[in-house]
Amino acid sequence: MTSKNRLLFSILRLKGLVIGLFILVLSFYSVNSGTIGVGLSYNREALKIDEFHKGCVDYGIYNPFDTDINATVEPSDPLKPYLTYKNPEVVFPEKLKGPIDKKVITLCFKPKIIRLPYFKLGIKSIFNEETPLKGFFNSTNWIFQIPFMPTTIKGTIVASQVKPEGTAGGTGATVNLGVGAPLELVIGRKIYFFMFLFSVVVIIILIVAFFKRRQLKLLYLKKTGKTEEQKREKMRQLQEQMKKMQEQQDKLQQQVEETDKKEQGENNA
Amino acid sequence: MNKGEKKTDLFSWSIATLLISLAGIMPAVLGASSSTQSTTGFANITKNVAIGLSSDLASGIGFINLDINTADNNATAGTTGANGNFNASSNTTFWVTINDTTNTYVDMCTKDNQSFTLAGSATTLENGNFTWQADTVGTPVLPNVTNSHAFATSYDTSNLIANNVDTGVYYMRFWLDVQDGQETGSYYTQVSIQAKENSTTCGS
Repeated sequence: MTSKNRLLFSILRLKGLVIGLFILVLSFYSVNSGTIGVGLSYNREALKIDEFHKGCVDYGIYNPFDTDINATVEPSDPLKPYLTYKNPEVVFPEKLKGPIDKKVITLCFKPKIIRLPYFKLGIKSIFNEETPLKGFFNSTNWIFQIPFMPTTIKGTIVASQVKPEGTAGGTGATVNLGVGAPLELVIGRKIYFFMFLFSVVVIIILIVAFFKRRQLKLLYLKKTGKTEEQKREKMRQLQEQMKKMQEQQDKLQQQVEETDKKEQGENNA
Repeated sequence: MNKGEKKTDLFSWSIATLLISLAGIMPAVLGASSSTQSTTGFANITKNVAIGLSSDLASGIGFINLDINTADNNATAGTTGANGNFNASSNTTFWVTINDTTNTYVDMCTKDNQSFTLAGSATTLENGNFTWQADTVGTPVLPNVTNSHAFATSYDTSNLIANNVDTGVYYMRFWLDVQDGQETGSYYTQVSIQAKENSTTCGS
């Protein structure tokens, strides 16, 4: 191979290498540039709260991609009724940053085990939020549970990009992106509630036992056809008869003794 | 049982109740006065999930100038894309990527919020006409219309964009059929793509 050919071969090899590198960079660029997305960082998948108490969970939003976004977190439908506020915060996580640089959004939940209609009416009337009668018996606001057993509500917390609504032009679909984290609300019941419940049950049992006993007694007397008073009267009469009989017996004994003495006197004379 | 016996019985029960109560309280009382030293163990496990859409997919899924009675019309990037959603290498520019900060395995699912609906009207183009397919192969990246999946208004947990993964780029395509007699105009819907830890179901 002449030196000219060798030079040409080297140039061609270098050219191939450059093209290869270009394709590699292009393919990398095509995937990693112009990407719009969101990251969610979480360290809790279950939250135990006592009824009528507030519990909160932190969620970190970050943006490892190269496009600026506004983002928020939102609970899925089963968890929504227990959220303490309606519109969670919107954050602006810095682009090309990892979970260490996350923006934290705190979601708080307050479960009301049995929400009475009038209570709901009161709240809604005070804050003038909705038509008071609307959604009164919406089943998602009610939990009926077995005493002593905590209730678990499963749902998802979804982090998503906040973007303006609508599309322009022809037929089409807007695309929303979401990253979900599971969350279970475990709602416990307070001990004083159980004590109250236990007391009520004991009182009911005592009342039932009392009436049951009286009923049984009445049933027995009805069966034998006698009342307590009648029994006592009969007993008194019998006692009196026995007393009279005893007196008669004593009298007779006395007469017999007197007769014996008389006869003995006559015999001696 | 005479009155004396009754009183003794009541007294016995009271003593028993008192002893049981004391037995319950004693450990707490004793614990408070013990000299055991303790330290707190602490472990904080954090999960991170991050996914991104290609700018073409994020701009929307468009279908331009469709004819009546046509099937498998290919989507364009956004509603103004003129040349479909293909790049110079004829590969789709619709893709979803899992960022390398993700440290747990996820499933990726999709749904729409309603059938394509004519703006300002109740007329729809039913969901069975709107289909998608994802390709888990890196390149070439042209998911095929064969065995494409129809959209539904709840997350499709049988057909996933990706299943039990923590990395990768997932290429997508979308198609729309237009039936004979379909009313003219611009129809809209909203597509959602969700990534969720794979031990739980998308959207639940």
